[in-house]
Amino acid sequence: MSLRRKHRRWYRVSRWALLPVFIALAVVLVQTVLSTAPANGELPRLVDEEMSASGVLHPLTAVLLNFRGYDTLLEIGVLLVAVIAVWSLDASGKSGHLRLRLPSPNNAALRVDLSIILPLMVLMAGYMVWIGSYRPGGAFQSGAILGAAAVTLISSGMLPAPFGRSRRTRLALAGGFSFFMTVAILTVLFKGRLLNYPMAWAGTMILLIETLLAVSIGAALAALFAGVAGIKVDEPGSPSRREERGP
Amino acid sequence: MIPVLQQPETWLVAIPALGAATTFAFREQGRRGVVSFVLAGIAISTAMTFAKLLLRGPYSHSIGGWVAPLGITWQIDGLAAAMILLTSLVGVMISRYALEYFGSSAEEQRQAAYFWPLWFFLLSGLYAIFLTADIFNWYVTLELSGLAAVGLITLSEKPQALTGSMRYLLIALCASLFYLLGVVFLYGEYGSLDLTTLAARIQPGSVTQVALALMTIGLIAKAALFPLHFWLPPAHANAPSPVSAALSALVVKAGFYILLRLQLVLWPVVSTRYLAIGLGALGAAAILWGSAQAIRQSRLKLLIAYSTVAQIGYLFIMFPLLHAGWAGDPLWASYAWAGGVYQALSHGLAKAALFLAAGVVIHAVGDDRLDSLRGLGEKLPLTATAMALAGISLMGIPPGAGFIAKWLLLSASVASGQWGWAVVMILGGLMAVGYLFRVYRRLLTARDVPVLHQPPRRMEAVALTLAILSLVFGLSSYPLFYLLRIGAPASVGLYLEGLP
Repeated sequence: MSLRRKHRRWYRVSRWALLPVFIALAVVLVQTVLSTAPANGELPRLVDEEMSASGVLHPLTAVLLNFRGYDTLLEIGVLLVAVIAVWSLDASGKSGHLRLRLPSPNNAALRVDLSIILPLMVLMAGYMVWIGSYRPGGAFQSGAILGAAAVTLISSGMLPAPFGRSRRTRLALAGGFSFFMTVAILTVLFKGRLLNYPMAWAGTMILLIETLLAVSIGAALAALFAGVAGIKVDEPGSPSRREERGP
Repeated sequence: MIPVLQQPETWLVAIPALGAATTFAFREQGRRGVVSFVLAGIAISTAMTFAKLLLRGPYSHSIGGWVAPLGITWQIDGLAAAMILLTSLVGVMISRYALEYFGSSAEEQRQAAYFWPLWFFLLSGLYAIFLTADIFNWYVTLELSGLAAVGLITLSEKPQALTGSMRYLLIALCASLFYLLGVVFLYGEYGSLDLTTLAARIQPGSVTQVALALMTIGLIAKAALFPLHFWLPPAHANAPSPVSAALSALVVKAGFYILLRLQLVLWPVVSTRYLAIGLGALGAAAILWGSAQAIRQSRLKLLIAYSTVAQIGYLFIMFPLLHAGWAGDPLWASYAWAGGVYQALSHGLAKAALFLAAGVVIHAVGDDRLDSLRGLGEKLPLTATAMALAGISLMGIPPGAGFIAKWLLLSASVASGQWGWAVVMILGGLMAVGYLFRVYRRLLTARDVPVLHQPPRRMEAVALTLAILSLVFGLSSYPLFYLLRIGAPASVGLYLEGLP
């Protein structure tokens, strides 16, 4: 017991001891930010020059999907790894549990709301991918909307939670990354470089990749929501909910 | 040549990544086939990458056909190839081991279902780290491999593994952010993320120094250098054994590799001798502290994990020696560089062998207490031999590869008159004898122990193969020196021919 108290006191002391370290770090960072010269405009100029070869009209999309598309490819991999890691926790019962009380299936207002909002969300997601080639938008924004739609469905009880780990879900999750990687391989075979799209096809390929990425990103966000929360569904009026109110 | 074989380096990243997606989507269906395909692909691509490097000399691959600084460029030279070789050797061996490690019980099948996708993503991320020469791309690849490593640790059913992996996750995220902050400053200052472009533009200055310092802090946390090593023992010791092997042999080397790349290219300009000496001092502290802790442990995997803390220390002794070489005789820098890379390789092979052997022991007797090892030398002779041979390399006794590493580092420190590092390294070698003989003494005790499960022969064979490999690299140092010379930076490559 005394050891534990000692440990706790040490923890409290060490926490305060770290304060000057962080203050010093903050001072150094602020000073560095202030003394950083504004970046020379070389890269924006290069992006402008090569825009015509990128297959799209918006510089952000050109950087994300073409000039530095390889970064994006790996980032999609990171998202997939995150889902796999969270699922591996959940299956062993290690993750926390959030109890979700489902609304009654007869809730007419909810059904009407959803039947209006959800189609709009899907439409919006498609629109986001489409405009990405010439305006701010693209796979990530679209995926976020799709993910929100799926979360809405899960929490209103219309999509089975915990967001079934069926083959279909896994294919949706891995599809974007696999397709992107396959394109990368095909470009190696035909053009000799990773992600070197044939110029005439660049726009079409980017649109296709973004569409599949949007689906995978949406699925990943929904899977993370369902997985992290460790959702256990209580049917309305089920007795199990009362047991959870214990001390 | 047919086009498939012209860019073998791209397959190193693509094949494991697609293997990961496939084993995730289709689970156990056709898993053995996918694994065999990935392993064959890795082996062929590695061989082809080597052939290309030897025929063409150092080369680059501009991704998407966009030349740096607009696009991302890979640089393949001797150092990258050496790390790729280590990853492929250890990666293939661990995969063969894992095929036997996960049995048929429901719990083990669950672990396997998540192990394969995460493991293949980890491999893909590691290859991506060793290939690239872009400071932001390193951030992305560090995230990919780091997150996969966290997921792999949690596969163990032990509660300590969950705590260990959580701590690792928090440290890894913090470290990534420190690194990213440095990247942002460098980009702001020089307008490029490409290492070669940066090397041409970099100038001494306060922003540059802060940026490099932030990146260094992030990377030494990833490499588990003392005193930022505290996350390593619980994470590495409680993970499933094939995962422990991958973490100690490969993952910590990734942070070190990036730091070394930055050091070789950027630091000669921004001369930071005191930072180098500081890194060396932390390395020396790691050797002494890690070894001392290893001697105190009563569990085999914790002992091996603390030994990793100590062996990482040797890698960082290289930095002050490099700087001494740049200020004085370039020969010292060549010695230090070759010694450091040799240490990364030899430790990778030997440590993977030890962790895999520990996994065999756990399979056989059910736990990894040191006292459970008594009498196992007779029951598991192959595994005991693997532990002995791997230990030769760790202790730095010829003909282990670790001997060449430590001998080169010792020569550099003695020649440059920095005796302090030499004393610490010799002391570290003696302490390694100390903690490893605690293992051997028990293995050689005569005692009739009941072996609960006879481990699959292939698991034992894999551990032994890795241990033998750690000796093979010690028998002849010429091939590796030859490799390191290809495209070596001028700051270290001057006298590589002069090496024995």
